Amino acid sequence: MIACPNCGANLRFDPAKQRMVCDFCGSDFDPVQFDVKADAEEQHIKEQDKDADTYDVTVYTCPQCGGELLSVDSNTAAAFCSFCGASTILNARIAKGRRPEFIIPFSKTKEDCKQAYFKLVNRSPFIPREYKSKECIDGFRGIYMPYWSYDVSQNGPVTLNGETTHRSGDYIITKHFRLSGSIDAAYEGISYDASSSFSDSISEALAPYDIHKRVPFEPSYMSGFYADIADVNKSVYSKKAAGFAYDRSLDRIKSETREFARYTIKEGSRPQGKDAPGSAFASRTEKSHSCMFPVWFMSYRNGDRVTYATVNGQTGKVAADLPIDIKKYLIFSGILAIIIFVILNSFLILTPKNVLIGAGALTVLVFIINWMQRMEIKKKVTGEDDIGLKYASNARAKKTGKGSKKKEALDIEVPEAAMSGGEGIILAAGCISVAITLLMLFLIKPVNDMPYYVMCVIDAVIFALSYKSTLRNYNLMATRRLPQFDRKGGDDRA
Amino acid sequence: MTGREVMTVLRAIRKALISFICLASFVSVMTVPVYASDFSIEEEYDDYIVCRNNDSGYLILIDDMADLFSVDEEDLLLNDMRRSSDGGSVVLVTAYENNYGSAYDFCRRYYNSLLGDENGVMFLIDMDTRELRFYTGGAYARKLPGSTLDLITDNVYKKASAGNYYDCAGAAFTQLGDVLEGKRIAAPMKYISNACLAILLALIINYFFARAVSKAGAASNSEIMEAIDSRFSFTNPSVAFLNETRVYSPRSSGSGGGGGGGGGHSSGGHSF
Repeated sequence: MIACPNCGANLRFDPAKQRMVCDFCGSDFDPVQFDVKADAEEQHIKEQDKDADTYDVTVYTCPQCGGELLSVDSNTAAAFCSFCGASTILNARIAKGRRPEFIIPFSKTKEDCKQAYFKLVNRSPFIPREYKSKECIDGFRGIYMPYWSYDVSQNGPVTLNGETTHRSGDYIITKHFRLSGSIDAAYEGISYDASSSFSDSISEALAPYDIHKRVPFEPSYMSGFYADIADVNKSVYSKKAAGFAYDRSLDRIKSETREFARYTIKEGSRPQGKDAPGSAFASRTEKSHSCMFPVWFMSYRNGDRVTYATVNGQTGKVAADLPIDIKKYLIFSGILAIIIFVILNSFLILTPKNVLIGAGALTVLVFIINWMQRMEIKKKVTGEDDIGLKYASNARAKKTGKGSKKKEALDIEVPEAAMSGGEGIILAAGCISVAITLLMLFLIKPVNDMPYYVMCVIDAVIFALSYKSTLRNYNLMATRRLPQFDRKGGDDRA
Repeated sequence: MTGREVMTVLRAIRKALISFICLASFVSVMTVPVYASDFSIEEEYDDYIVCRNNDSGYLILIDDMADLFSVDEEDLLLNDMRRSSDGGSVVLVTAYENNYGSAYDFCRRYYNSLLGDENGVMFLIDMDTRELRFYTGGAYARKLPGSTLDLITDNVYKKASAGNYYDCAGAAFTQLGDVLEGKRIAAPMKYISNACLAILLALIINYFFARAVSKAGAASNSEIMEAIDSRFSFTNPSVAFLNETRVYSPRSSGSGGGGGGGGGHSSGGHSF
């Protein structure tokens, strides 16, 4: 706890004032200069802490999912878990936290965050009512998320492949050139989240954070807020950072070098291989800084699923899981259907053949959507597109001795993406129906209209049954499994 | 010859004349009203009748090559066809053999050789491909879009399937006349089909709408670049020629594009 020097009450960092404020006596203090007021002995201990790269924290652990949050306030009882949404008193213990180098303090207040979230949910007509409820929105919690911030430099000779193409008679002539020069570039502050519990998709959606506003870390900025634990090694994103720097430099060479303007710089210039493109342009990751970036974080638990809503604590940008209320969705679809019906009637008279083609095509489209959804769900659950989660999963697997090979660690069973028996039958029926449709259209060509209409009805029924899975999958994609951290605790349902 | 005999002969002649006049009047009453007020016959053979609408000047033609209609039926069909001849020529053709491959090609060639790009509508009962087909040209192509012609053939194809070709052609021209006069024709399946498609389309569109609304846009590269510190310089650019490759790629001899042409036509049909 950081106590008010005037009255001894708890101080908190106020994002609106950018100062430490005491809600009891109304005093406020500079968060950086604040430590100076501590007595000499305390100051000495703090200096020692700085040297040791640690600071005192209270670690709150969720007894259900094992998720951990850090706080500098020791006398606060956290009553819910931000990761799994469980309403439970979190276990607390005093520990030493690793001191990050930089922090971007919160500049958006909880009110700003709520407004930004409201704006988003009001734009989505299908969101369940409970996501707009006061209790839900009050659950926003200010959390500093750990990030790695990379400084990449590029210095040295550059060689690229360029070409020009023109036609001469019946020949296309391509001239190949070597384009070279010297590069001197630096990119400082390319940032990626360092917590496996914070998915890459959320951090990408919340980006960017203005790195110019970062300040050296002081625990006082954390007062009144929480922090997530960094469990992703700094080497994990260093290639990605080098790749980003490479792409930006290549963009600038293409757009700013007049001598190269007439040449098409081939994508093949991008180096391939294990270290690519980090090795290109003599890229070097000069430094990686541990940072903390502000995020307003809210989780909402619904049965065995949880949804996250996040707001960038610096810019107010929102990224949230938005499931749909099936009832609202169908009502909206009904209204849309009436409008489309009126429009179609005004100009469209379809032959039975064309109606069947339309119904068949839409049914096939639903199957394709279903298949893509399953792929997306699988990716999300296994963390295929989340480098941090992949790293943490591998690390946990190695630690617990399960699966010495990387692949095994990621070989997570994804029941959500699996097809149920009923869905298998629908798919089989769909395939048969499409086959019959094609036979009817191109081979049998019945004279009577009735077979076409009968097939349309069959297609429509298969469409409806398949669409039910589409909606279920949609909500699976918009929600998450209850997290299961390998830290402490655990939930059998997760 | 006595005066009495002369009077008797004169009376007989007068009687004959009156009878002839009466007969002529009767014949004219029985036959002329069918044509005279609206159109006149220009050519008439067994299965080929060409008339002209007296008001509009457009042709009304029946070419019953497949011999599907009796003479009386043809007369009655001319009446049905007349309704559609105010704005263009009206042609009814039946074919026993189609050497053009498809009913559409048959119509196109027949229509173009007869009327070219003039306003008109042709109805073909093709016994070879078992297909009914409408073909229109000029202003009628705009008034009678393919979907409307499809609807008419959808409504009448069952009569042709049952062998009632006269009923089929009669109903087709009656409905055609109704459409040209701005009347509605029966389209029960139109509403059911459109309702079904509207529901399916709405569900699909709604899905993509929900996805679009819920998707949080990732930051653009320029936004990220603004948020980080960067410097960039590229000096001593030089270009060195390496080699040259030639790929044989003959220019396309086709003119590309094209198509269209003509005065605009529409078509619609149905098997039977």
